Amino acid sequence: MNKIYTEEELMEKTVAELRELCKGYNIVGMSKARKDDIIETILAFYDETEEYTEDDGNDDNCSDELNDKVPYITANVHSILKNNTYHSLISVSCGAASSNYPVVGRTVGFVKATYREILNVETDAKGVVNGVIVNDSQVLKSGDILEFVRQAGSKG
Amino acid sequence: MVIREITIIGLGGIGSVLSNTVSRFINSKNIGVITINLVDGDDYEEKNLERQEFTSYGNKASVKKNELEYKFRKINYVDYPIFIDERSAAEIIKENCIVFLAVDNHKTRKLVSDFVKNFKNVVLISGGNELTDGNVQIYIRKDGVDITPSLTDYHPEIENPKDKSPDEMSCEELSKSEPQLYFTNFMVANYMCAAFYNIIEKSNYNYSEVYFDLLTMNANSKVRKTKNQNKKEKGDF
Repeated sequence: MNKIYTEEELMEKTVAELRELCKGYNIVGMSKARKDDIIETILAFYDETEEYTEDDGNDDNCSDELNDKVPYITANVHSILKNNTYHSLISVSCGAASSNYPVVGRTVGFVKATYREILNVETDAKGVVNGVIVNDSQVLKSGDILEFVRQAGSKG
Repeated sequence: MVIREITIIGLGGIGSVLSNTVSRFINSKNIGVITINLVDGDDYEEKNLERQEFTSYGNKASVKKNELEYKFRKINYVDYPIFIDERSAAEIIKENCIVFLAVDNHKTRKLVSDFVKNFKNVVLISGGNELTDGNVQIYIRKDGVDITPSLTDYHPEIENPKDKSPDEMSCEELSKSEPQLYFTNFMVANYMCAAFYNIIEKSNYNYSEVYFDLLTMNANSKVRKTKNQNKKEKGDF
């Protein structure tokens, strides 16, 4: 279980402590990131969790007691307790190939490097999240759809 | 969508099949006089037999015109026995038309894509393939606004083509061709027809591209934002 910190509390932590915190949240790609970037990524991760808490605030299946506990549970546990409204799998495709992978909180660049061979992703393929071109540093959120653009066929 | 004119550019492995299937569909509809422009500067030769649909030798546009006008009497065919360039594009491709682009080089894809960007209303359906996989791109422009991305928006290889258009090639270059498979050409033609059907019969303008792979039997359609929508999302519009 991971506690959620305020921005001020995060600022007081050392870079090593922040990186350790990222590990607990399953946020990757932070080993060489600057302190500001790490904090920004952690806050974005919190926002996402909070977004789902707010969306389902009046959900009968979700008691106030549960909402009180949300800041102290991991995203995956949250997913189960909240009727799976938090999707931990993201659809990733390249050309005709596609699959679902547990890459919430990971960067587009990480997904490209990890699944490049399986999906036959070209090294210079652009990442597109929900129909919009993004950089490799973009962190994926629950519900995102990721595509790596495959080159068009040249013959005919 | 009301159509009056269709232009098919490229009558090789994809276009020679596509021109027949699109004609059959159009001919079966009571939608008045339709003109189909057939554009290709290449000749049909014996070596093309394994994957191209022609009944006699000669210029592909002219031979195909003769074949099709005999079969489909409700359609007015015009043949252009040339490789398309900027000047001929201006003569052949008209506002409010549907363009099927079935060529074998990115340079021509870029030329046509850039040309139709100036229109208010146009549909451009472009297909291409490698040996066992392929894709179809769908560019729709309505009332001066891009509804789907252009051919170049997500494809730097088309935006900055490294190949040559046929009119830039030597005879030796033209005679060389990479191996292709008829089945793959055929599938591209079919997906181009599917895109056409979705647009004119179902008013479905959602998809901007579809990919397929013959070996895995997979196909995957893509919904992408246009350049302007992308800029808006990023806040620099």
